Amino acid sequence: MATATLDGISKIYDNGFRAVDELSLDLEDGEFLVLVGPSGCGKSTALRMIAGLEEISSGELRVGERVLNELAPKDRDVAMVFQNYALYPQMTVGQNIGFPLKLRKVGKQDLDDQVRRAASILELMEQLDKKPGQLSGGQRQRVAMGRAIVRRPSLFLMDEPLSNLDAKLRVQMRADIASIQKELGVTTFYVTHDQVEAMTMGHRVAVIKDGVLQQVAAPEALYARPENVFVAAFIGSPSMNLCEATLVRVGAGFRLMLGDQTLAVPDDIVDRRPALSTYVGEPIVVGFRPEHLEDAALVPDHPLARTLEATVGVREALGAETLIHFPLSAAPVDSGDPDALDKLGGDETSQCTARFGPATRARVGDRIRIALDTEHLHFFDRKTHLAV
Amino acid sequence: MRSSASVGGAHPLFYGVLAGACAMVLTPVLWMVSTSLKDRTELFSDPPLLWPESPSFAAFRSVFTDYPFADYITNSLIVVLTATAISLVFSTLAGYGLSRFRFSGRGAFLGFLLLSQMFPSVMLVIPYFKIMKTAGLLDSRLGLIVTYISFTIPFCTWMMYGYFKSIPRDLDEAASIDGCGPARTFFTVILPLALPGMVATAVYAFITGWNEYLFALILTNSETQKTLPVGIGQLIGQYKVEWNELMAASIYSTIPLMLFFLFLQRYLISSLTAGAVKD
Repeated sequence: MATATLDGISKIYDNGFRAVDELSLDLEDGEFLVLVGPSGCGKSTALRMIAGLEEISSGELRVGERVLNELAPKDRDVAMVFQNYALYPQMTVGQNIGFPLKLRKVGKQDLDDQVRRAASILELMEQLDKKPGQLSGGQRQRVAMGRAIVRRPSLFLMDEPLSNLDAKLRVQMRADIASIQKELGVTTFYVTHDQVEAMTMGHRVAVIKDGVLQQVAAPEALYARPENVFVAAFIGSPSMNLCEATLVRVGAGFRLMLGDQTLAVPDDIVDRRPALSTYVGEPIVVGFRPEHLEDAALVPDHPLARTLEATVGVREALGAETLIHFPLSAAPVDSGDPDALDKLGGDETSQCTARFGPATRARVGDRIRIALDTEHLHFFDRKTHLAV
Repeated sequence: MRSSASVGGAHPLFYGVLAGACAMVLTPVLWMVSTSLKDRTELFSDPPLLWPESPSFAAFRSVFTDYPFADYITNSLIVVLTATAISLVFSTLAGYGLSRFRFSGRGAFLGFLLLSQMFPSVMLVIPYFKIMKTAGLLDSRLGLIVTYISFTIPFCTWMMYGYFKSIPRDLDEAASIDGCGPARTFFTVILPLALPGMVATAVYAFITGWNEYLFALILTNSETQKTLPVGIGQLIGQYKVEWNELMAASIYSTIPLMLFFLFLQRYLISSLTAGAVKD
């Protein structure tokens, strides 16, 4: 157990491609840090550099007081859980879990005890004599976990350990991994492309894109105060609606011009964000989350001036909520997430999503009013995409 | 190899085809056994006898008493087993290295190995004769061993390279993080999984050497150094062919092959890596 520090770590390939660019992170002792980003953003490369499977091109990696840059994987005192388990098929479950201890010349009795303890934490006692080929996917992933936890390493590395499991099992294992990590208190570096995993498991979440760190924060802070358009769109599901708008001064207050619609916003909106004053009258990127939209028919006391008018394009009833997709005549904004579905509906129309209560009567083709919670608006610079 | 199709409810045609295929393979074997048991008159009887009236094992004895067959068999075993073992060791190590490490000239080297297989052996036999003569290895088992491994190592390396590529690299990486150095990763984690590939490679190398005739004929001439195929070939004389002895010798020659297969076939399964990684 130890702190871990990534100090300006970069991975530069021979062809000059920077897979990871000056990544700096500090992990506290016992912290669960999730590195999240779209596919191909360099997050796995970062993890593999910590493990020693990839060479660090520049920067320094420290765990506790030790600099790990030049150490072989076996000397780094880190344990890793792989996306596709990587179990030794010729060994039984017990031998798989005990393998790292055997290599460290732990005595037989001691080794047995520790393997059993790990197996009981992971509910694998019944499977100890089976071979990996006889196990289900979830059990295999637990064996891979067992091989990592049995060693009491100073750092856990997990490379998308849940992405090969089916959805139901994933939810279960998510909770299991989080509770095991808490119990053992081992500093953990967890890589995933799934923002739900990131939000539910991490003490802090680091968002990375194209090898560059975008923001590190606690999940709630990341959700409430994204620092740029990419983080805003990447965190949260369905993702934040983003479009271009103009803030105009009307008397003592302000109005937001969204395409051909006008939205009343709180009078103190600029007081709370002093930087916003320089954007008055200029185009700006505005973001609002689907969960901050509601069918105006369900909130009768919502002021009419803070609603948008729209035609229902697609309706997805999920039971507890109903997702409504609608076009908005305002210029769309590309968040830069390569995995995102193309939400851009042309030059002057944004495809927006709203999360309505299940009681909504809105049907496809209906012209409806959408109540917008203007307390939760996000503003970003149009050029730099940074939060205002 | 396992078959996943259910055999119990198969179509009659399925058995018909199987019976036909078996007949094609087994008839020559039956004829070989039958001929080896005949005496000289029955050999040339007209119409030919499918099975001798008084089977005799005389030919099985005479190949040992009238010819130095014990020497031929010993030579074959020494030469082929040694060549197989050496090929296996080198091709396994080379295959692992080629599959796991990136180094300059790797692609060219693999291509070169394949290129070396393209020449017909008739074209190579004279150069080999001259080389062995210069090296003083003519008419020696060592000369044959060197010759055979020069043929088998390139192809065996390709076989092992292909097999190692099918073993997930994640296992190497997991082993290195768990605490293995490179040598330990290879010997304790990867090598046990490569066993089916090594068996297939050994079978290939063994059969190639065991049946080799041309080079053994050219590179040896004293009776004490000749191998089994050359010995059997000598039974075809200028004026007469002792068919029963020829067939008896052929049976002796197939027995080691059969034993070798029987011993190794349980390793010829494809599923050793089941459960290693998500398929």
